[in-house]
Amino acid sequence: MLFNSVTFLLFFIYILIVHYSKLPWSIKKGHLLFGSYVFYAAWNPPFVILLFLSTFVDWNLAKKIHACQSDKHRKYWLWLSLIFNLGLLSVFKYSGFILENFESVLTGIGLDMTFSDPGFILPMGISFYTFQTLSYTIDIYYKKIKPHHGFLDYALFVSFFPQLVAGPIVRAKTFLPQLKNQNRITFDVFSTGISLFIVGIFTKTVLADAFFAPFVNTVFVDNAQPDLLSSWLAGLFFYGQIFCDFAGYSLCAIGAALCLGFTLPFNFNSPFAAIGFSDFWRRWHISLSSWLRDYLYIPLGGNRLGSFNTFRNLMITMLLGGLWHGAAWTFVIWGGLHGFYLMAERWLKSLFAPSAFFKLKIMQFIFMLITFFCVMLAFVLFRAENVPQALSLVMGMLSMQESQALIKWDLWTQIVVVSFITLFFFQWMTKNKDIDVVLIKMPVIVRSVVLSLALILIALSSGDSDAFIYFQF
Amino acid sequence: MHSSISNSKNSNKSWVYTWLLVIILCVSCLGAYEYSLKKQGFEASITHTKDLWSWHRGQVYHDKQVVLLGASRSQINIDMGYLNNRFPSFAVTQLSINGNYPVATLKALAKDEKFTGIVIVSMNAQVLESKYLDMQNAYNTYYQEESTLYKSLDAYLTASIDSHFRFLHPSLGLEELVKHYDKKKSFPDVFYTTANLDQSITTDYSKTDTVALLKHFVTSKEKNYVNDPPTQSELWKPNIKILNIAVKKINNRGGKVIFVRFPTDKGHWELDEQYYPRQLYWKKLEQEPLLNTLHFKDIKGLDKFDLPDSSHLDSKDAQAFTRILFDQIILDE
Repeated sequence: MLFNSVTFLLFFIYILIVHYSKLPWSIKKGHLLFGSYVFYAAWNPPFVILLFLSTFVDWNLAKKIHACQSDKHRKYWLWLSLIFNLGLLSVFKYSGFILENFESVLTGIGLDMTFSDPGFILPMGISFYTFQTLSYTIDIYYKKIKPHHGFLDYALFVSFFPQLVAGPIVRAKTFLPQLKNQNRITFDVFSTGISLFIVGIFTKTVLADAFFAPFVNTVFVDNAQPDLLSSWLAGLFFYGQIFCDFAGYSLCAIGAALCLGFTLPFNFNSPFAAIGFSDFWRRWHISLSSWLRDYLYIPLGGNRLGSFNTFRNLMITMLLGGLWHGAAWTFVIWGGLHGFYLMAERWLKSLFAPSAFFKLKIMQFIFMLITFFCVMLAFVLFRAENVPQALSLVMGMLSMQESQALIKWDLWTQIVVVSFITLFFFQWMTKNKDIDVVLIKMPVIVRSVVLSLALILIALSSGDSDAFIYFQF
Repeated sequence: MHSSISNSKNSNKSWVYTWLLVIILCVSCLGAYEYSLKKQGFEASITHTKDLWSWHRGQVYHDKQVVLLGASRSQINIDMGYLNNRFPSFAVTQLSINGNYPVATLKALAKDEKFTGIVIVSMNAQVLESKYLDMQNAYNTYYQEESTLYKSLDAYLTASIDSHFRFLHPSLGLEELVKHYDKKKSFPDVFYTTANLDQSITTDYSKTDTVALLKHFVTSKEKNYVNDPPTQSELWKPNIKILNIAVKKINNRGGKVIFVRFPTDKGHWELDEQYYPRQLYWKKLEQEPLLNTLHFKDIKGLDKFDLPDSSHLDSKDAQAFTRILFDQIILDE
């Protein structure tokens, strides 16, 4: 079910009516769980079995891990959880990719063998909920939490509909305690939730879908040779599109959860304004980057084992982070590029001692611009269907090819460019503030005008609407 | 996180004022825009999508079911409201698709064992040309393979809302307005066609330049016939077998299929006769024992309607047209 659909609106109103009724909390939680499964089944009903299976297996494995006294046996159950979850991901997400590459390797060594594509449908949100359930078993293994909650609470933690299919990836220790008692939902909190939802829908349907996506789709096509303007605009607008698409979804999720009395962590914090790549990853898809940090980078040794090992750990983490996004080499290269950025940043920081000069506002702005353009360049790979398509766009950015003017510099393009620049400076101005704080602190008149404008533009941007990009991951 | 929320000192009052102002601003801005569109003569019109079509496709299993197949002529000339009033015990579903000939949908209905209804197919000789047989395949494949209850229900609910508000039409949205203004320095022209929730289309030719439209239609048709010349009638005839197979399957389940040749006029009919003479093509359909056919030239009154663009009726005539046509197609109550 898409947040930007009439069906979701009706579904959510129904959920709210039951949630605000005088029914006992346990019934309401059961109802939320049922609603979450309906929400998931709307996309493809049979896959709720997979969701349930993932929940059931990890719930039981976590109990086994907790019950074991011997470290060896604890490790054994943890490995089983890892194999089960990563196995699910491998089968549904990577089997085609693995077979295709295995076939290429065999062809390379002269063995002409072909394998048919298994043709599995990728279950929506599988990358998100498997990581969520994995974090539960790993946290129990490291004794960070105890499996003291009931199965239904745990199932709701895995399937809670606002964040089920595209995050934020929530940790058990932050979500499960919220299920003990129903939080009192004041009108302030409810209003903030609705406002975040409206801003999220605006970000997705107006900025991502109506403003940026059409330009991006025009340029990122096979055999296109975009000119200087088209290449730069497509690169910049895709960065805008993917941010607005994903951050929009996250805001909707956070807003919807807030209306139900649950707080979810923010997933984005003005990533355009990041100064440096480690800062970027503290601001972009925060729930994934912190997951990778806590459950991959640090267990690999983090930065504790010398420069070489730190660089190796960074690269492994980012390569796997890239692969998490999709079964294609472009995602792997995207991850590798970010690994390289992080290594380069670390190396440069070791060469230059921190000085007041680097902290000058103008220098900070320059560093931000450098970060912004490097990240934008990496996103070209992320969006491209293959490496030659990405290279063609980069060649276009450097004016190094016979080119086509795929984007015209007309009034609509100018409006979208102004919107992009506004978004950029908005992030720069609010880089250290959460969007809910910005909304709450606005004078009533300004807040009303902002929300009204968002709603009016949503109404005037109806038409073709794309599914959220991150659903495919 | 959200510490700001839990510690918020913002009174409920400020949010009450916020929402009141939001309602006032949105209602007044969108209301004013809607009113101005109404004043200019715009009607609320929806977008016919594959998901909405799939919704209607899923509704063809009523005990007494009539399904309308074809392209724009069937969507425009048949008055759905009149049919529903005249045959209240029948469920009438419009599955015609603008610009797409209907053989693929007829075949899909024939293949669907659950379907037992009456099918009225808008037909002409060109429909049976091999290159036009699969025109509606994309819709049928989508219905079979990609459509879900959620998607089609959502399309129906969205279209239900769109059918009430003019400003929700994509052509009257921000992007199209800006692009139109940039190109022509004016507001978009009033639509002379309105796409309805039930897949039908309403036309009002008083809102457009009919002379230019007529010229456009006839010229386009001529170009189409020149670019895709007809297959010789003897080579064309084997494709009738496709209809026979489909009709036989539907008849065997208690259903019925009627092929109707809708009227054309003002140069268009002459072109049709020049390229697909009735005696050489349509006659072959009439001679098939399994096929029920109705030709507008054979039904008194049906060829007397004005067709402003040479191919479609103005909606003010659709009810009378539908009455005459369905006087011929007796639906057994």
